[in-house]
Amino acid sequence: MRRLVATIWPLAVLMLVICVIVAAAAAMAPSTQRVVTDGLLKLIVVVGAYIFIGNSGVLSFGHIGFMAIGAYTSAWLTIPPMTKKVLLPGLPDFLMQLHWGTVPATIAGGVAAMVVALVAGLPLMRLSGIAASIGTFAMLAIIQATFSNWTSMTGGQGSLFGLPASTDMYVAGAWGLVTLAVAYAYQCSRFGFRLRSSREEEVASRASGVDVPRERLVAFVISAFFVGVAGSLHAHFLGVVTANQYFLALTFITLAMLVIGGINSLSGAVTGVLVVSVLAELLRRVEGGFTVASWEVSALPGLREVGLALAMLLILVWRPRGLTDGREIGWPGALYGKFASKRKSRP
Amino acid sequence: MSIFAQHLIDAISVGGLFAMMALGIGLIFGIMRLINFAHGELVMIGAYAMWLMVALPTPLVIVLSIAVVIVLALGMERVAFRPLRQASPSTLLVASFAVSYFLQNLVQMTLGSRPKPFTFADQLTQSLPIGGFHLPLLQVVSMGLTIAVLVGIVLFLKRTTYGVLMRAAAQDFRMARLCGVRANTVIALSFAASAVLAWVVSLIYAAQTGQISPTMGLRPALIGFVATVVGGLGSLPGAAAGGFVVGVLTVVLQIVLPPELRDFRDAFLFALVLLVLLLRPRGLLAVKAEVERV
Amino acid sequence: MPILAAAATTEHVHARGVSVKFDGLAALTDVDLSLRRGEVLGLIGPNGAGKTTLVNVLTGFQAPTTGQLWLDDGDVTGWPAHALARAGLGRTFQSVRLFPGMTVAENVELGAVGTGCTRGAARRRAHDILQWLGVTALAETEAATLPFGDERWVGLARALAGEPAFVFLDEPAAGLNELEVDRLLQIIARIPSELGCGVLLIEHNIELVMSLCDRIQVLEHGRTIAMGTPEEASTNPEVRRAYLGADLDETVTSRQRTTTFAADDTVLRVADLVVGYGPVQALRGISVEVGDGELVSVIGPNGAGKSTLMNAVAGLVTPSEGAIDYRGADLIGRPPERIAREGIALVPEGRHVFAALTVEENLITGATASGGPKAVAAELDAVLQLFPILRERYRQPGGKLSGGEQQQLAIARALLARPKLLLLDEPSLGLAPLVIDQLFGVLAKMRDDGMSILLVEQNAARAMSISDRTYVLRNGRIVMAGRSQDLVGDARFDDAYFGFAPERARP
Repeated sequence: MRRLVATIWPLAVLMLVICVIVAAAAAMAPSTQRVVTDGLLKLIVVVGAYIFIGNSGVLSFGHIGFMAIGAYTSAWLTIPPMTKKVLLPGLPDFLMQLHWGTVPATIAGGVAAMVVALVAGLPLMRLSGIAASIGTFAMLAIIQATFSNWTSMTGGQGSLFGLPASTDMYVAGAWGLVTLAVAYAYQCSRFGFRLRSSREEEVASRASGVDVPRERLVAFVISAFFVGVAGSLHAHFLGVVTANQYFLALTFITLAMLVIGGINSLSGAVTGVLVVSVLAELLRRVEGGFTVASWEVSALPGLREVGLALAMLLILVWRPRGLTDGREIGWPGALYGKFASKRKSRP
Repeated sequence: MSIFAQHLIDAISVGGLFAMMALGIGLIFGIMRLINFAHGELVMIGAYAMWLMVALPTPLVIVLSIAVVIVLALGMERVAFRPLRQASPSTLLVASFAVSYFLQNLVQMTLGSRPKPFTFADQLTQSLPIGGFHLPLLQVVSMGLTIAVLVGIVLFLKRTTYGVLMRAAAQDFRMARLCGVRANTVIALSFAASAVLAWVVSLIYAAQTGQISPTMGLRPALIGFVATVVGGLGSLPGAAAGGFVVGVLTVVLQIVLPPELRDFRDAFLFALVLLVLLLRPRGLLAVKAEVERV
Repeated sequence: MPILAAAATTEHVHARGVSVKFDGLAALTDVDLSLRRGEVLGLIGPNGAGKTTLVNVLTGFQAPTTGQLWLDDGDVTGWPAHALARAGLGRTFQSVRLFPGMTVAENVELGAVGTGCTRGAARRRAHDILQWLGVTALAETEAATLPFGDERWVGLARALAGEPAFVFLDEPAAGLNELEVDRLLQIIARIPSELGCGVLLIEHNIELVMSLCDRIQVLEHGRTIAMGTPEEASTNPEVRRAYLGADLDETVTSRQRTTTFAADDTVLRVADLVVGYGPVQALRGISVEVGDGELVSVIGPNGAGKSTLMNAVAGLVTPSEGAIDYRGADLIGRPPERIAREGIALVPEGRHVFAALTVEENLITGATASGGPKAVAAELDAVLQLFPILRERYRQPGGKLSGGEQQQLAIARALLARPKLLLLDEPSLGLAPLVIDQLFGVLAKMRDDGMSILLVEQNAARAMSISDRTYVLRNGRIVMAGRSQDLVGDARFDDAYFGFAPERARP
């Protein structure tokens, strides 16, 4: 019993944090709720990416490509056929006729991302280190170039509109909880356990019977599902899909969240999203200008990005292994002991 | 015939440009194991420096803008990367992301995000009649400059003592220090050298496209990276060769792809990159990398 | 009662005609090995003999240039490491290689999960094995915080958790203290009978090998030079010669000097040095002195801390306690390049020649500490006289040189720094005997020319044949020290070097 509680404790805490945030935001203005929804979508992307990156230790630049796949899949499935005829004349007939609801479309977006991850991952997962990272980046670049130029299928550089804007804070929150639960279950499963061992010590891991490329592929495919789902949810959040959205800026911010929180733990992924989102939101308010007493500060456009970059640099210099140092939240009884032993171990 | 010559010149000049980019990135990687994402911002700042000083006499602009880029490169090393020297490559990479993002947005905040016309090298837009066809002066100059810089850097690395020390450090940093090579000096020197390479790229690139913007460094940096890996990380000739190959590939793809596929050039380019990586995970000119001994 | 029923039913593992070449250098030449379930086979031989390479071939970490690997009648040549592990070949590593961020229990569990167990079953098995080994108390400790001796147990437990039919132990006793070695000996002796495994044991501790093994195979320079029962092996003069380098009594030659040095002539004084990697102490308070113009050797088995001592002096690792005094200045905390510029040159283990740089460029780099290539023109000439082969290869990349040539280049590079103190870490490693002879001749000559040298060697006889004084290092402690010629005749030397007291030699 004690073991069970200790095992699910970190997940329970993280899920509770999400629930509390959603509950608190429910009482606030719609604009605040949109900020929270955006944060929750980032959470799904970052936790989804963590399933692969965190457990394998291989930095992937390609995940935002899965988001694009999810978003476009959703667009193909949910835009009304009449609109599709005009926007996407090149769409094959069977797709042209479909008019799905957003929930099946979201799942389909995830599945489509999984299929791509499986095909791309078969060769990619044989690479390691920087070659693997650049390989995943090449994948992102190919996806990006394809979506932004295949005009008859994707509308090219322009925006695709007509998607039902069905993603609200509760939908995003629910998917966020599912993502957390699956990520944690994977991490505790024997698959996740084997992959983590290869991250810690690849040679010993292979000597213990772990087929490293295969384990990486499993994680890559699961991880693609959730990032694809996030892409679809994001499309239904904005009601519009634009290829350029799913490229470098988003890759940068999500990777930064992961590294800042601590790349090696689920708690780190969540912490990173929370800290960076809150920082970004605070800076956005400062940027827009504000009044303190009778002192008026005028708007400073661009301040948010500059401040965010600086803050992230400072955090990295201060804690190069991330805010959580790659650890999960300890449970209260063990908390003090763990902390003490950690102190001892890292002089 | 003249079309072929034109294509050839295109291929060589684009190849040379990316070779310089990849060499600049490869220099830093070899020594610090850092993939410096902010290398593209050195290019961008170099172009903006020239743009800002355009009223000054040309030689002064050149000298000052080079100085600006070098100071910036040394500054980012000192402020962002030196404190992280012991950190993991992913932390270093994200730090360089942050530096890049910071510089881009700083320029955007102060000078605006809209592209500006780049007039510093206006005289270069004339064309030069050579042997029956007209050659744009810009291409002649940029090719000459590229060749001069690449030859110069090769001579520096091969013939001067400091060049030898930099190559030694790029290969085995610890051993180089045991030989008395000062870590900070060599790292600073590499950043300065990579800054000079970035400046040359910024001049040619801005003159060719005729405009500058805060995000102009992004694409050359991305291709530079990929090229460094394709060429073989840790090998300087590999980086230059990788850059050249990738540059030439973009031109070749532009020529051989049927018009309806031309928009997908980058997709094909990166697919080829993937193929190279899968066939030769250590790159085209891999140094016998230190394979981990079991 | 066996706590494990080995999953694989394999009875034999065979390697036939295995050769491995690295860059044209033969690491193994036509080696056969055969191991039966239930027996203990000892694989011994000096450093660089190819023992670990052979285990790497057997476990799929090194593809043999030629040769085959069989499990019973099935050809498994070319199988990847994980597949061989699942087929019943388990192993440990010289450097242990635990999963640092996991607990001990998780480390052991992974051994079972890796070969296909569920997590629940793995947890039970990990518990059983830790209990069998008597280290249950460690279960919840994070592996990164374990002391070295405990790490070894965990590595062994992890290898056994996969229910291997055969387990290859690569120097399991290295770095353990006498008590721990005793315990290990008893445990290994129980593996064949209680777990039903075949055990391949690589070990430097000859007495341990002799007492445990049913058969012994001796490698030297990548070839099998002897095979047989422990009695046969121990009476084989080849083996003793191969192992200690040469017969101690015969090779002490006139290269030794008998002069002693006055205390105030000390160039280097290392006092009470403690170096730890994390909580692991590699050096536990050692003191070493090198006099002006003296050649001092530090000898000892693998894992004794010899390289750590060198790295500490050169500034590559920072000691936690003690002092390193070099001609009146404390070196601790200085970066390696500054120490190099003070006149200390290290020739590191494994040579570390700049492979892509030519011989000339390697030498230019070497001259950095002494003011650049122009300042050392005379030395360059002298060095090329000393190593004429380097003149022949002057414009070739260092990576294309043979092992012996690379070693010469590494020493030449260090000499161009005009060092006042030369540190040499295992210069004889992987070299042919003839080359070692030449090399040691050069070292003696340099000493005679007035250079101070600190030499770390596993080849004890050779080191002592030229050094003035010798320290014997074991488990991070100096266990014996004195004039080399005195140590050679000392009856206690073997014990100090191999690390067992005569009364405990055989269980």
